[in-house]
Amino acid sequence: MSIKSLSRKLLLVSNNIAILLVAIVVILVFYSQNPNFLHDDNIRNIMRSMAFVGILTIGMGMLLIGGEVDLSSGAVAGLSGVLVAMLINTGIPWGWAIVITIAFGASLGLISALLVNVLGFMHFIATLGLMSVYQGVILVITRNVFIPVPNEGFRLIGGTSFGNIVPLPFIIMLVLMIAYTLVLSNTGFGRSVYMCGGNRKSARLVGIKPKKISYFLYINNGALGALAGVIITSQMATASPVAGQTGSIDAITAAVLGGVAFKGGSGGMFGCFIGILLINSFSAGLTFVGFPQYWQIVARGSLLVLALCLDYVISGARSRALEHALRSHN
Amino acid sequence: MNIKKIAHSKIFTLLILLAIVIATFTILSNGAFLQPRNIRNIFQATVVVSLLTIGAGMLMISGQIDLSLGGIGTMCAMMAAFLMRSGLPWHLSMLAALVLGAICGAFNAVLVNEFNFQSFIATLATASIAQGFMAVISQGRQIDISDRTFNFIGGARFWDDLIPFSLIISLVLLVLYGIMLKNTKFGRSIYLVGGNADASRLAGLRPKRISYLLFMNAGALAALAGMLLAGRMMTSNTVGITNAQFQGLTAAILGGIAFGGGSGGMGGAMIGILILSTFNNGMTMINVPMHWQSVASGLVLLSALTADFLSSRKRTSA
Repeated sequence: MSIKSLSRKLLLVSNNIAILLVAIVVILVFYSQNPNFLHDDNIRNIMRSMAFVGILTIGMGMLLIGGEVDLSSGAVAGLSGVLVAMLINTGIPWGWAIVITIAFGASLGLISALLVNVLGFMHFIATLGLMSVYQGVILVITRNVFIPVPNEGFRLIGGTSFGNIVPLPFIIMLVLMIAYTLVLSNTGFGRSVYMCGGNRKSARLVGIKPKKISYFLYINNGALGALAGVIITSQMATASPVAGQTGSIDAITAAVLGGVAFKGGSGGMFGCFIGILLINSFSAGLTFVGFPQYWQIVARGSLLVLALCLDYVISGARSRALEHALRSHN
Repeated sequence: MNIKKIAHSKIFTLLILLAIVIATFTILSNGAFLQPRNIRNIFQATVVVSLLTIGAGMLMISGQIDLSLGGIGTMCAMMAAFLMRSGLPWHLSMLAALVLGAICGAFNAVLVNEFNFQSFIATLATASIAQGFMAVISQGRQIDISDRTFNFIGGARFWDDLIPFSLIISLVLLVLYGIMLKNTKFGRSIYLVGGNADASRLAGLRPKRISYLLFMNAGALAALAGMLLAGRMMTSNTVGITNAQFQGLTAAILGGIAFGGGSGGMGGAMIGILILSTFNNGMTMINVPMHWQSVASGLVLLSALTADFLSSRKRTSA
């Protein structure tokens, strides 16, 4: 028993460390190309851009661990970012506008959950359909133009930074990650999320209700998507109709890079954090050293393939190690 | 007995649905909908979707999905336009683009078969890489095509301007692939692989080889679709056939090709494509704004899935 859990823990930890090393190497390479890469301004910019993808990644990471996926979360973020701007511009106090928007995001998550659990659609195709609907709605209500938000209080959320380096949204993301880490590792609920992702059938047999957990994960993801949308609108003081377009893919890439198994059952928030750090410093670095703009799209797609290959190698090694441990235990 | 069987078949239901869509838009548009030119437009719009549906549909029958076809097709069309601008003759450019499409398909197949990625995420990654390469080739601008033959293949129309040449190509391919699926050993083996990959391997089939062939086939067909559109527009732009891939999936599901494979065929898919094209054209005819059409296409996909869910529940309970 102890051998098993020990070897599994070792694999999990070493996985995170490997990715952390990659992130550090990436940062050092860009630093050696241009020392300004680690200048205060650039660090702040990287942190700033981490918050949006980071909050999306929390929700996506939880879904992936539980064996689900939601391709609409980027569009949910985009739509919520537009909604919060419109609400504030009609004169509703910004605090209330945020509450309404997050509730709205949660209800969009509920729609995904209903399609997957009641109608039994495959998760990716159901959420792909929803993504198209939401992106259409964004175009309809914005008529494809930016919506400025001239509200001072609202702009403070995205605009404040502590010590002139650490932006408030980054702190929000960190706090959320710590909270979700605690939920995942220290509560029965967290453990049942892992069980559902690892083996749905046996989870049901030991008395966990996978459907209930699936509902929670989708609603949670919708609410977090809405929060991400609120934050990006506040950071730009403008709602953009294209803000969330690559959100879902970026979040999946970050989570899988950070060691969340794509087929569910393992991973954690610390890994997600490193995944986001890696992605954002990578793309900031590419821009920084003047890598051609169009090649950057290729590079980001390749990063996802790389992440999945890594996932393949690691989960293969993990299951071999588990088998080995089991055999030697017997 | 026989009439009852026909009345219960999927194709019959689809034909009724098509009739309802046509009737509705004819009334709403005061008959303008049934003008010969508009009927031609409806058929013209099926060309790209048909080619994507053949590739995506066969993959779905075999239990896989490909979300990269729009990206691959757009990139390959851009490549063909780029090569022709650099002075390569049209036939070599088209051949190169078709091969490039097949290579992209093979890349998908490697990710799915050798690295065990789930096909939707593998092809999503390929799509974003293809989109990147497309931007690199085009530098973000459209490339105009002046080659007569290339533009003729995509844009020529016969018989009083009513029959597009590209429509003939897509119909011939639909029929050929339909016959291949129903009447050849290879076609039947695709159904077997989709129904149960393990059992098909035990029965002596090679699911991996079939998967490679289907992904490459879908990639090449996507390239052809992209080029036909580019030829008709006499330019290759950066949006290309990106949005048509979604319609290809919807048409396949609407036409009764089940997810998780094993059932469905080209006949149903063909009517599915017609229903979609009629619907889209009708919305334009009655002046539904462009942006709403994106909402509607997502809703149509979700309703096609719901119909599929309801009918499969009926089948299992019967």
